[in-house]
Amino acid sequence: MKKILTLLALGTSLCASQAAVTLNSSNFGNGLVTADNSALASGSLRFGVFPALFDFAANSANLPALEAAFVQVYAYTGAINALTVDGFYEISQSVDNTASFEGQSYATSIAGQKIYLWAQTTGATQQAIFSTSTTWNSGVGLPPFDSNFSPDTGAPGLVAHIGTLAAGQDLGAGAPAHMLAVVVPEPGVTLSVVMGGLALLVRRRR
Amino acid sequence: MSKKTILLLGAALAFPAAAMAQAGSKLPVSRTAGIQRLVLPPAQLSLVSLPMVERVVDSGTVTAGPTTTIGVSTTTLSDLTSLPHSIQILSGAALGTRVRITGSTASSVTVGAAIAGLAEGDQYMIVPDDTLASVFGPTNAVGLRGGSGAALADEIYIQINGTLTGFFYKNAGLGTNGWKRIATPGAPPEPNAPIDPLTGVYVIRKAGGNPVNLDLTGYTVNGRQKPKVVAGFNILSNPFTLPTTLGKSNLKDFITGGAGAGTSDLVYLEEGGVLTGYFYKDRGLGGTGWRRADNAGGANQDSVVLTPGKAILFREQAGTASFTLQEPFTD
Repeated sequence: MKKILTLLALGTSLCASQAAVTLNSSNFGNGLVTADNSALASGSLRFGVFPALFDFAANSANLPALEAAFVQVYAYTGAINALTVDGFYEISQSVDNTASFEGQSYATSIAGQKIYLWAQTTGATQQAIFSTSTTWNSGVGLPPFDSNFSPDTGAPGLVAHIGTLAAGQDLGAGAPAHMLAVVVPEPGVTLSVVMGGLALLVRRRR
Repeated sequence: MSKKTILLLGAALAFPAAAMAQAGSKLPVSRTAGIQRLVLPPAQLSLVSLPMVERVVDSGTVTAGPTTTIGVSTTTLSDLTSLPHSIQILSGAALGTRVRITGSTASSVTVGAAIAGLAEGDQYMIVPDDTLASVFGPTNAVGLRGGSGAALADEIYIQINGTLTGFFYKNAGLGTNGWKRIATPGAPPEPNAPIDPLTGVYVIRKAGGNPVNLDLTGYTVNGRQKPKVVAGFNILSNPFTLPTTLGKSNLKDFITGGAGAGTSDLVYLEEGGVLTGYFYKDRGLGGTGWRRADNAGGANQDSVVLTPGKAILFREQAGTASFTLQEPFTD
């Protein structure tokens, strides 16, 4: 997994500075369940960008390709248990819009791009990737400097690139939860990983 | 026109002034009840002014000051902090200043910082502050779009102690419904979130749906209005129900001008959902006068109208933080 970048906590004031935007995200409209329809009680919620023309269909079982394409801006790992109900989260996070993330300048490469949420189980055995029409706020010009993202049903442009919308049980939101998918690596990808591992092993023994 | 006619006309014109002067011994405020309707179209941002006060809770003269505790002539003040209230100064050097009351006794109020220029004998009034509930209804009677989160709902930004703070109406999903902070939709509703005195509201409506009418009722307040401003962006209410222009507003006398937009305070006005920035050019090549922020060398903009009902997005970025709006044609 890529290194989680530390973000500067510059506060949520919109007045004080234009060196930060605030990512606000919650999923109280649906919640998240795993592939066996259990509430996603813990895991990772990764926010970032994918290339505009990234082919999710062709790469849905290719985690290395997904990782390589994803530029992570913020990630949370831990309990997913907002309002003490498993499967729900609430995040408000300041993001430095003068920084670079994984070598990508926020100002020139991330601002204005769609926000992607990549939800993973602990151990990343199951995945869901969502996007809507919400984009990363540039944080310059006129307020508000918020990026308000929600994967809830009804969010404009909501797409589940991996996982299934509203396919799970009702966790208490009054609507079916979105479901993560078990990503089974393609044989080619598995073979590459195995070969790579073997090569490393041989090299170490030498 | 005969001399008699002129005399009668003069008397007629003079009468309101005389009546106001008489009333002024009690309170120099015209308590003209009114209603302001503003249409909030979908898929558009709107800067909403909150020009009226719900009622005058108390009025009189300042008996002690100027400190953060202000003695007042009334000795029976009731609770002024369970719901937010402000004190507005109606005479003297601090004329027009309105600040939130943070504590009170039967005969004094406490404010966050001493009011510059306030002196014994100055007249004051105490008014309730606007809240989300008082403007939009405790359960969103105005009919803004609600949702499980701000990404689905219309967004409202207000100033709370100088900080722009976002809210939305939660009407779906996990947790209680009501007016929620965008940043913390899981927290309890805040229908009484206090809108800073003399500030307005920044509404961002999502696409789809119908225009909604925002009807504001109350009493108009006369005289100059002097909101507290902070560095950065401020949503300031235009408190007057008569239109004026940038040029005639005399606003230039109370903000910082410069040779260009980068060295001046900026005034953003909204029209049809579009914000246009202006600054007062007070020096340099190209003469003086109001100019568009994006065209410092362009045409004079003195005739741009400050529309009643529309708030002003003010960017305090140069010189001393200050802002004062004079009452059109009278101040």
